[in-house]
Amino acid sequence: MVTFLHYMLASAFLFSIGLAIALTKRSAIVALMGVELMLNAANINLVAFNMKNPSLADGHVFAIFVIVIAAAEVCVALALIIKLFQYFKSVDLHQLNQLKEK
Amino acid sequence: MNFIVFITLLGCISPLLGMFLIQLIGKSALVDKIGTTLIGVSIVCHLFVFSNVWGGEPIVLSIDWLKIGQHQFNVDFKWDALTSILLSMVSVISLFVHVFSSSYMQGDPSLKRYYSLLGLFTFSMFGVLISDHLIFLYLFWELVGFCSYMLIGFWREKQLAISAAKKAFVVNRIGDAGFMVALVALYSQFNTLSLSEIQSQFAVSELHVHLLMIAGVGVTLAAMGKSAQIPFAVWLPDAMQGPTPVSALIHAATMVAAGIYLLVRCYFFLPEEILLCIALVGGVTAFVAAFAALTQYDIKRILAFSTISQLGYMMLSIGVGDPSSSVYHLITHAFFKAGLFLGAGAVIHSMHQVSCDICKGFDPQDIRWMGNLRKYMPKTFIGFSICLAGLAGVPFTTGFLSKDAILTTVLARGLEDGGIWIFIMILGFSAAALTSFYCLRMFYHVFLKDLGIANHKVCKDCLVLPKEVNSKMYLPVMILGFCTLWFTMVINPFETSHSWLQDGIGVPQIDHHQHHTLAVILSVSMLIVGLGVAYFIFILGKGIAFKKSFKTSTLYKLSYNFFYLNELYKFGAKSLIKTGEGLDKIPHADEYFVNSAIVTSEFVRGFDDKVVDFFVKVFAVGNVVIGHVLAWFDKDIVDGCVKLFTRFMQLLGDVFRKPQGERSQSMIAWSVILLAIILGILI
Repeated sequence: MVTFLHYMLASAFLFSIGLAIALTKRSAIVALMGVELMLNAANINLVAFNMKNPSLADGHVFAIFVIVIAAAEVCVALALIIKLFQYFKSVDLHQLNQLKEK
Repeated sequence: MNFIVFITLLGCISPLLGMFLIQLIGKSALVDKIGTTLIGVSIVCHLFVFSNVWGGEPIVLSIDWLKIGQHQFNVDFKWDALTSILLSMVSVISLFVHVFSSSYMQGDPSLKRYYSLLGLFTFSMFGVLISDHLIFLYLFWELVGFCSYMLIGFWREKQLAISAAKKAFVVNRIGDAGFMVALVALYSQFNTLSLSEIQSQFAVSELHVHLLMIAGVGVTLAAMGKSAQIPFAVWLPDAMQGPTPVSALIHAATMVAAGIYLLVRCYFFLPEEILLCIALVGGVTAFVAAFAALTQYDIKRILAFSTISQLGYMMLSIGVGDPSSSVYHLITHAFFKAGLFLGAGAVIHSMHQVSCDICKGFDPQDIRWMGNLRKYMPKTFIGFSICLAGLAGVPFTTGFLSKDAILTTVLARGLEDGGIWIFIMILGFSAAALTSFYCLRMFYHVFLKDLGIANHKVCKDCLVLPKEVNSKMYLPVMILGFCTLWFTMVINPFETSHSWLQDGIGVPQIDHHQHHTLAVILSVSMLIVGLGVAYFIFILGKGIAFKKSFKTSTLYKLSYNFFYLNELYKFGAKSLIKTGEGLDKIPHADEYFVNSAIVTSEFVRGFDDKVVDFFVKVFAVGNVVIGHVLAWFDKDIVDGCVKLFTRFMQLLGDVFRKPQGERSQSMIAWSVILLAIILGILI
């Protein structure tokens, strides 16, 4: 039987993995993927909390908003990453350490 | 620079120019003409200056020279009446010497050097005369000494000439040391060495008697050296080793006159005691030198001793307080002594031609070989004998006038002050008798008796009779003889003082009219005594037995050897050296002292080695050790603390620096951690 606790654990697990990816991976795209994982963990949380109190659809609505915002964010982030790649010829986050032009 | 100063300078520099010209052109045919011409220029200039200065204002030339600290030294030259008359006298004598030399020195290989030195000699004498600043006077004084050294030793191949030159130089140096001391003493007293300034200060300022005394002694010593007074007289008879015209220049105008001139210039500050010394030295010199001249056979040597004697008169005159008579005698003496030396040169010159190779022992300067020259050389004879009369002090000559001027003062002083002055007076008068004696003796030997060389057994056969010398040689002698006649000085031949010369030169003179007649009578009687004895002995030929016995007597030896003064000095020097050597050889009486000194020094050395050095070493090692410890402490402890602190600060910095950037991901990580912490606190 899948209980509320399992959802929480899966969400936390997913969030941790996403955080780990976002923190440790060098590639900006992979880090972005980590961020998406964390967002998804948040979505799971939202939906699971909504399941505890089904009279309100707030959780679902929030989850949908988050997905929409995540999609938009990915668009913006990917565009940024492409721009960064054009400028630095790399998407290695360790090399993207300056804001000013050389 | 105005015209008159230009002329005065030209007059003084022209002999120097001559020297340079001679060195530049260097053709021996022209050398004497250049020298003589430039001396002629000098005479004209000096006579011009003389006519301006005589009875007028002196010409003064003062140029800044150098400044040492606050001490300003000027180049001071002054042409007053005394200077200008002496300048004219020196240049005239020098001209005659030049003219005479052009014939006398003909064919000498180093004529160039000779004429250059004559020019330089004359120039340096001019320098002595015009210098008002004592340092310049000293410089020219030394230059005069140097030139005389070069000229006396002119014939370098002659050993005698070289040693005579050295002697003259060294003896003069002794006097010059006195001059140096006098300069220092005067400077410390007056703070200046300009004679005019000293004179102006002398009247007003408070004076230090001892310093003046020292200065007086120094100046007197210098004058005694240059003017060959008795302790220093030994150089002058030897100085005749130089060419005869040079002797004329030295004896008449330049070298020996410098000493008298210096004393006359410095007369105003000489204390009474110094004047007495000067008078004593002068009197003794006059007498002793005249006595030495009695027995000489070398014609130049007789003249040399007579010069010393006459210089003694000049000193005597300064000593009794009548420098004007001294200058008077200096000038008249210059003329007749120059004439005598040039005449002697002419005689020697023609005697040289008499000699031939087989005449062994022939000496052209020895009066015993001469005789009857009045027949062979009548023109020289006239000039020479007038000059000789001047030297003897025969009336109607200037020599009579000036010598009587001196003797009158001496007599007055002797009669008024008594005591030692009477002794000095007696010396002066008896020297006059001796002078007339040796003059007549020389006159007899040279001009009257039969030709000495003709009596010689060997030389009789090859004899060439002496001839009259050429006009370049006899004319100077005759002109100088003419200048010795009385009317060049005064109208009345028996008026001994207040000649135009004495009245004009501007040094103090004393009035001694009351003793005048007595002095003239006394000096004439002295002259007559001297001449009479000489006449009796030589011309009449009486007293031959006395003459013979005299020749073996001590007095004769004393006179001939000039009182053994040379030998005395030699003996003194030798005994000094011997004493020194002897002292070296004496076994040391102070050996104990030396040994104990050695032992003491050994002990001290050991103490130094063992004790002092030990402490020094311990101290040094300790220092090094402490140094190392300190270095370690500094490096490890002090620096360690500092480093620790910096490390800590670095870490602290890192704590704040790291989260702020470096990597975007670490920023995220930190924010996550902080978020977690905040959440932890909130929940």
